Amino acid sequence: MDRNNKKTNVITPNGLAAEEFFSLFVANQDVIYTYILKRAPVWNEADDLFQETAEVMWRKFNEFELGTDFVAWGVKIARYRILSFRKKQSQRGNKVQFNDKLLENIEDNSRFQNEYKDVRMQALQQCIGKLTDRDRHLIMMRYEHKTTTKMVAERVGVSVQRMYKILPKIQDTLLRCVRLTVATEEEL
Amino acid sequence: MTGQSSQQNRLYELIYLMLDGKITAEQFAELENQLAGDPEARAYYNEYIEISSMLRRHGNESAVSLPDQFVSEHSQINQSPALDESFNKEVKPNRKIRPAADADDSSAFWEVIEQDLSRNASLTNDDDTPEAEPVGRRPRTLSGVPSSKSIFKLLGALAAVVAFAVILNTLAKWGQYTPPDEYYLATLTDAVNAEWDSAIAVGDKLKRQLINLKEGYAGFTFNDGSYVIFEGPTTFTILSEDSVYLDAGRLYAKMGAGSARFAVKTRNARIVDIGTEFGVATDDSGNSEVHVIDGEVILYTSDQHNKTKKQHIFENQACRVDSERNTHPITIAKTAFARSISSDDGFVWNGDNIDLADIVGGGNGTGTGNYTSGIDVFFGNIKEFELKDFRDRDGPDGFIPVSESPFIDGVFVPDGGVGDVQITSAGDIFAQCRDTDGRYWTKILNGYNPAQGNLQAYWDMTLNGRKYGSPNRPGIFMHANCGITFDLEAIRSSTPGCRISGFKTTAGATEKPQVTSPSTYLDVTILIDGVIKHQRNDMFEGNYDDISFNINEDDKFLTLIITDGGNTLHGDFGMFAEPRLVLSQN
Repeated sequence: MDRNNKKTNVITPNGLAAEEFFSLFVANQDVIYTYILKRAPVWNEADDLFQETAEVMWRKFNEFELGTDFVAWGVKIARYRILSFRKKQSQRGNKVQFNDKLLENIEDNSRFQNEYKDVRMQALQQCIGKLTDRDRHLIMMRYEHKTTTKMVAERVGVSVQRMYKILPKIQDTLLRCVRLTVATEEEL
Repeated sequence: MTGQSSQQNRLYELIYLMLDGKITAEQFAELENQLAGDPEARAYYNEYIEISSMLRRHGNESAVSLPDQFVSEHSQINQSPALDESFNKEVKPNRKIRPAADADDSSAFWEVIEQDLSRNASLTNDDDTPEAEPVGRRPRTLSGVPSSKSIFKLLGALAAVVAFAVILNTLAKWGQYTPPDEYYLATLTDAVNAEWDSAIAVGDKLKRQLINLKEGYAGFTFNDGSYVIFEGPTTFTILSEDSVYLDAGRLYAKMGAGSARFAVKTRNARIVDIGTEFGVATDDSGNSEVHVIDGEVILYTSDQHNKTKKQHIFENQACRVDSERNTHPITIAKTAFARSISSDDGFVWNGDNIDLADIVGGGNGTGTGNYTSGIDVFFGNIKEFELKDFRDRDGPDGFIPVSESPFIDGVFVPDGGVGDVQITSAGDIFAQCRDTDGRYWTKILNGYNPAQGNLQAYWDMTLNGRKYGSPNRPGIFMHANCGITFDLEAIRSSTPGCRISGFKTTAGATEKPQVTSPSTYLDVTILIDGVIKHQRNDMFEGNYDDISFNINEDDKFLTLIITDGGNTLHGDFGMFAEPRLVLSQN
């Protein structure tokens, strides 16, 4: 703060306001994260990759031109992180990752997703409210506070195998509900 | 087109396993194969990952951290007045997240949720085994800086807290609120063999909601008066009092008398009915079809530039919209949709007419009768065709009831020369009956197979160049002198929700396959309750008439008669091609 107790922007070494990066990152992190998750669809792996991507984006923010597409820039950085990660995984002999051809065919709809993310999030909230009590409880347990699928199963007294059928189905129900909700708001 | 497939069920199970890091090598191979080979599966995969990501963000499970270098270099941001407040909110325990003030805090449901939340906090510790096998995982924080100081975690937590509070508020409102009647949009008025995903019963009023009909048929009356029948398996949402969203499956819609429009939305189209009846089918691949049974609809789609296209589709036309939103005209399938259902009888009507030839064969007019069976005119019983049937003989006296079929009033051999000819059980008379020789030749038959009679060179049931007398082209074979009366009241009782609006047939003398076949000279007469609706005398082989007339609600009997033209009955092969009672909905 300056002598008059007025808030000042903190300036990064490259001259751009840190708050610029901050607000851009917060506004767009979900899309970049989802891009990574589609190509590295394991929670922990996607988290790590996203953290790496965030670090690189911060370090290289001086290369980003304000006013251009922040998501596209972040996705480009994420792509390189994913490539590097996949190479390491292959060297370790990990066969549980999508082949290159399939990765190319997974559609990059980041731009579309970014545009409609608020609508879809709102729809998801409505749809959660429409679940049965049981299903809502299970979904909230799973995602509210790092409760694993195994822990949810133990909590409600069913086998883990059974819970690996119940929770995916509830998410499918939410997917269809969001799809319907968003579609009914669209004008064709 | 059907509802959700087991393949899709398997797909979301595999994706979920993969996200949790629990997928086996075999399961992964199955998932990869499915995604590689099916663009629809890839599209679904994208959606499922997006939903999963949103759920995680919504539930604050994300462990994403801003780079700690950023945090340590710019700690002034932590002291920003705008952020202090949000920081303070984050550190308070989750128990502060309360439902809305009007919620019942003592309800069992909320207690369970809150107990779980507090238990979650105590269970979340370093011993908690992560979901995935660690594969080259990097520590979550760098340089030993605790992640709890991460600004991103703070803001993420704040967003989750706010979102969670909003959701709890909404849930509390749902639990406490009884919507008024006008909130309801449609009523389930009938169902046949219906199985649901949730507890729904006939008589239930429904608001805007997603419904999964797993099998059977269900009829809904909407508040605007429109009536919609869904055929399971189908998933749909009641959107408003005059619109539905069809996710997968099929429906038939009939606009209400007081309704200005009724709309059906699918993934790739919107169909607006401006009068009166249409069917819509859609599948998991995103294809939709609309078939206009009566009236007109407007079909709205959008092209790849999201520009709206509009197209009128008229009665007896149909259109398909593919997953790319291209439209194609197709052949209408009027009988592909259930148009009337009745739980009293388990009756489902798809628009088919009543086939009178099928009734002659002992059926109910919908194809349940026997081909080449028929009615013995002397005894009034229904029997299989036999070769020995072909012989001249004297007819019985009077009207012979047919007790083996509820839909046939009776049969007779018409001979105006011996007095009044009774043609119904109610005593109706055919007053202008010709003086015949009072003899007949064979049964009144549902179709005729010349090979059976060893007479294929002699005659068959060809009329106007088309061969009839088969299941695909039904026809009643009636050699002179015979008459049959159908009981319209009984047929109406068997088709609830429908009315008989008319009768159609092509009637005349069969074409002669050989020049040596005996000459044909016969008369065709059709009556309703003893009143002539059609008559043509002195018809030669190959002569025919296309006949169509309306039937009123109080008409009771329909009679078909072939007489011998005033000379002998030899060679008088008459027939009624595709004789049908036309059904309409009530």
